[in-house]
Amino acid sequence: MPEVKLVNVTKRYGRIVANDHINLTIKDKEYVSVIGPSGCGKTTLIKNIAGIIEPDEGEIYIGGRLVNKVPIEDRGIGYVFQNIALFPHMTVWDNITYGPRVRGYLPEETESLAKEMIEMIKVSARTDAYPDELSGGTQQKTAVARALMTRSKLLLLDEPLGALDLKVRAALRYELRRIVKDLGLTALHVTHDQEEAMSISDRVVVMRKGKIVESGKPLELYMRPKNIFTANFVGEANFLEGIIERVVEKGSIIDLRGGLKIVSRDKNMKVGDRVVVAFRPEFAFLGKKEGENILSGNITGIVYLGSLVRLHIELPNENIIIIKRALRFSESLPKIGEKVTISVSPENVLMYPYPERGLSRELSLE
Amino acid sequence: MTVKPKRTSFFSKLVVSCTLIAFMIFVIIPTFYLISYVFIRWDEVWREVFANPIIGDENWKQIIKVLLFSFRLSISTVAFDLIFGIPLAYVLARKRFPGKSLLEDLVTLPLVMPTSGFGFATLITWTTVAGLGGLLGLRSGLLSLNAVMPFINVPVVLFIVHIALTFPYVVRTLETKIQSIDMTYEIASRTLGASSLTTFRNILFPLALPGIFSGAVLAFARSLGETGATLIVSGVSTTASIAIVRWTSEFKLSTAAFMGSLLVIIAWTIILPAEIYVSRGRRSSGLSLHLPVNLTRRMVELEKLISRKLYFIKDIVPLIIVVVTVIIPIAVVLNSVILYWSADPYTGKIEGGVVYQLFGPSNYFSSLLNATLTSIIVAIVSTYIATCISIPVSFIIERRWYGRIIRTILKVPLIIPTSSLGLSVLLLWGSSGLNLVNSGIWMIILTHIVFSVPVIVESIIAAYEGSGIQMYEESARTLGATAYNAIEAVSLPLIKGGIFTGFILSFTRSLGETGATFIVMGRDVTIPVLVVNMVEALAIPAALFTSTYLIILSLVMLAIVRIFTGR
Amino acid sequence: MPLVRLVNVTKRFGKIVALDGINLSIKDGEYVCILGPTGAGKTTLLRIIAGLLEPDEGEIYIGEKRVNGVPPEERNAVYMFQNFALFPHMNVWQNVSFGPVIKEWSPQKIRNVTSEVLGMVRLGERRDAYPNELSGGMQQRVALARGIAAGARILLLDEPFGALDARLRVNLRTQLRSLVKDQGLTTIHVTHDQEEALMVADRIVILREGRIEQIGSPQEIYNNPQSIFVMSFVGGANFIDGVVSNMDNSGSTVEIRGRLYIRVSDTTKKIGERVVVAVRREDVSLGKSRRRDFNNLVGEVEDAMFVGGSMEYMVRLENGMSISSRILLEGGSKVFRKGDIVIVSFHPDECRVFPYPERGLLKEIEAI
Repeated sequence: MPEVKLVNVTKRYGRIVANDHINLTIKDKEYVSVIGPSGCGKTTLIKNIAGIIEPDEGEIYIGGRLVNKVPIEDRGIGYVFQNIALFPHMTVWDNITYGPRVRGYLPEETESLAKEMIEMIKVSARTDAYPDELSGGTQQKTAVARALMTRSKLLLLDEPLGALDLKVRAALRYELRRIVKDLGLTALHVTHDQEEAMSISDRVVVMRKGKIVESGKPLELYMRPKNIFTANFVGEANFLEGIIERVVEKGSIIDLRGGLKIVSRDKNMKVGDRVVVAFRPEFAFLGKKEGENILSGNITGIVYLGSLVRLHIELPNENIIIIKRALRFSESLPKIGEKVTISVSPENVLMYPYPERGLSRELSLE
Repeated sequence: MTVKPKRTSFFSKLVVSCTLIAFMIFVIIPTFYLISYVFIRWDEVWREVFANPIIGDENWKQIIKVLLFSFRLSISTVAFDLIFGIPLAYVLARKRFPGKSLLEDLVTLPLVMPTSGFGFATLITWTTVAGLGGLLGLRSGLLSLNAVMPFINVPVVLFIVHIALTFPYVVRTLETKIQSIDMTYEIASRTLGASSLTTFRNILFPLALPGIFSGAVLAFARSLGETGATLIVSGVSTTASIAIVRWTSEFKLSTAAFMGSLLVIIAWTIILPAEIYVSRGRRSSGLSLHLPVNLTRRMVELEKLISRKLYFIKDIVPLIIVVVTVIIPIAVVLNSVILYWSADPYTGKIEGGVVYQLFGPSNYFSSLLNATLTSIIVAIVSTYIATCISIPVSFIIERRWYGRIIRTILKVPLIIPTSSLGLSVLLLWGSSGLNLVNSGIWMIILTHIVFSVPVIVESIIAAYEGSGIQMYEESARTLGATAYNAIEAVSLPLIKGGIFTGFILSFTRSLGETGATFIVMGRDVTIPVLVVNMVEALAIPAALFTSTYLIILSLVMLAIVRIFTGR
Repeated sequence: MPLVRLVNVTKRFGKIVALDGINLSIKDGEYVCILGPTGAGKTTLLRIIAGLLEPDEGEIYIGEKRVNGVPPEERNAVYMFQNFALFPHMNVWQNVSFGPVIKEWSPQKIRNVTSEVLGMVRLGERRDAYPNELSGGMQQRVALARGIAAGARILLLDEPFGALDARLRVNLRTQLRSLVKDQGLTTIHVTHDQEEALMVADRIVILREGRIEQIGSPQEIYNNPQSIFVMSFVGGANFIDGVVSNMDNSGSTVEIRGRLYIRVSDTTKKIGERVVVAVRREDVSLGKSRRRDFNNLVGEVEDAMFVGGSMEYMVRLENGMSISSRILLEGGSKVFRKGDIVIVSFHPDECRVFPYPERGLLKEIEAI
């Protein structure tokens, strides 16, 4: 029995369609993230599920029950807010025990439940502290504990790490996943940070301009994105325009401008079609490899990123591509201006139809 | 956009000094002069009030009696305001519905209405046959002017007027406070299982307490100082502010001054702790009630029920109150003017008609024209000068460390009784003091400046703080603009809405101000004072007309603000 | 001649010391990132350079001139806020030409400079638009253009990408850097994002609790962190608590929990000293067999996560400790799953050894 199901959910604000006939199913105990650029409608979506706003059309089911007209407090959800929203006039303890207290649980019950929760989540604050005395990460953990005290099986997280420092964010996201999995909850996590989503989710849903573009397991979305927007939004990619010259047994041969050719394993389009090919920076190697696409160019930029290095290479047709590699133990890299050869396996060359609205508009992240 | 060249910091120091001096002369000193008057002339005051050769300490006894009455009136007014004002404020702050801005205007109306005109309208509505009494088929008014409320011992009509005039303070202050509280807290509470009423009790109410407190204090002070309408509907009772007017006209200046000083001190002692309480952190201003568990469970269930079924009550009842206390009197007055236009509808006598009274032997029409001229001159001049002082003062408040002190001090002229203010100005500038100005139009102007400045300043500061101006100013500075350039090119345009609103509010207030004007006017008469005169001369139809005239003028002003600020 | 110099700058807010004896020199044309956690004092530092705050002690020099007490408008250092602070009542053209207009240049000159700069940021066609009609990225370009047009030599950026989406940030930071470098501006860029700093800075200044922890080029900071905090904050690492049990010419042996031993190349500590061995996640590899000359520990894969083009593994060792490994997905590399038994390997040369910190290890790592 799926925990959450959305059928044709639509929400408009004036002329803007924030959610456009969304159909989505989240299975019991799944950790699903919804990602997308600002304004794509992901926040509207999660608010619809929580009951904070109501859809104009469509149905929402939680645990098999239709909840469209059900008020927030009766939907049985836990909600974690981007701005944390710990009640400023209450201590950590009062915040955490708010849910049970407000429902009239017995004090002993509430107390033991709270102690368990605090330990499980590892809230390191004094229980008599006030929210403004705590660090961002601790505050958010307290808020999570508070949300879970209602014993709801569905946890909704609205950009839960948005207000936190990067380092805290990176650490806390694993904590979120651990807590959800240990308690056997279903989670829906909304964020604009695709790395965050990819690292902790069972499934990722990509949204854009009110619609769902694609959804799948993180690795799938990364290795074989079905949509060109996904290819750009989830991780980085090099995009090159071309026209299909030939389709053979092994794949398609694409003519990039300036006499360059590249082979992709994808065979879903015809000769003469205008296409865009894409490959990820870390799947291109310095040097020639048998059986792979070979491209040559001049190094126009080198950026060190700790253990990685990014090389900017200009191809003869003036396209610039980026390759990313780990810095090997005491190796020397080519210098700026040097000519290099790189190889990309046809497996890793993705092919998409040339977008109607033009490539830059389709790839736009805003 | 023209931007003037850089000026030196000497210039800005000059501007600050001039502003502060003008501020002292026109606002601060007049406000507090009364107290120093009492100190300087303590012997005189002592003699007249406590050790009067003729009546002993009768004057002192009078003062106490009047103060007690005023307190009873004001406290019960505030209590009533809170009970019905809190739900209304919640609805206005949190809900969106068609007609909301209309409702907000209705609530704000008493703030800008001419008090004497409004008092008169209320008088007619409740105590004469032209009002509700006639509607219900009675031969006389619904209530007697001196009918008294049980328990509190306060005249009903007076009570109604005070409610109408103080309600906006509670509602508006609380509305603003609630709006400033992040709605996410309430949503969080609901996701945790609390119904909206439970959420209100546990979350919104504690966090909004400072606003409730502020509103109550303002309302209390306003009621204590209310003069204009009270002059008309008080009947045989005397409030503190009316006492000042009466004693001044009887030349018992020392007694009046003493009473006035007491009121200023009382206002001060209320405001100061309130400000301190309000400015403390969120932590100590909230209460988290821990009730026994059984009680909690039952209460929560009750709250759930109410939230779902009966919530609309909280919307309707305050609405009814607003309608009854504000709309109906206005409607009645308008209706009466039409009724009484050519002749008294009950006796048929032409002498009882509006037209006769205006154009006949009493010739109130020409008095009205003169009064209009006087009122408009006073309003324009005083508001203009007040604005010129307010703009730099607002900047000083925002940018200097002592700004907070200035802002707190500015609350005083806002809430002390206008009659007290008038007396202070009279004593300072008039023949008993510096003797620089005679009673008359100039003294009226000086008085109006005093209470206009706080209004305009608050309006500008609200706009300033609402638009994150500091950041824009800093940006401009690092782009090469001097402080003066930055204000001119960036800050002023961004707050001009606030300046305009403040200007209009003061202008309208000045048009309708009665209490202080009464004391300092000499022979120049403004429109609201004219109404009082007419009532005392029992020229009711003329008073009807004039009140209507005044009320319509205020409504037009309010409409202008609405349109301009485009809300 | 450095363009910006801070000498012993200290700033207090009540009892809190926001900046404590800061000494810093920034060269003309340099792109410097000030990196640190929230509350480190980064914004305070920036505001002091801008002239929006005065230090309690110390001096600030811009060029040759001592600028303590000199108002912002005379410092030629433009401050860019996190949300850009474009004047809402002016359109793009008016915003960008603000500086020149204030300086009272001739109308001709104003027009030329403004057009040129707008062209540079490719926003010439939107000159009539108002800020609230523009996207975040565009607003940022306008703010930049405004600063350049005002003739600024120094650009002070306060978390310039804070208000933008993660993915957008990556694109814009490189654009910003090239624009800034083309103009020859000196840039001081405050951020808490270490990846960002690594990518755009010529030099990074690590600020913590009001003090400078380390200054260096991105590679220096990454390869040669001077403290546990710096190593943890920039790049992250595994930190293993232990005691030096043996030492010889080529290195030391450190005993860790469960009587396991790690070989490190460091020889600066004493036997018996309590230390922390730090090794970057990218330097920890997983395999099925032991690697010669490497430290090899057996463990079970607790978690396997896919993180931005790399696989990150949490491996639980036999002594109960967890060690983390991050390996770039380079197609063809083996992917392990939860429950796999693996050998965790890392080379002694890749281990840094720090003395055990007074305040305890957790405080230095700044975990939540």
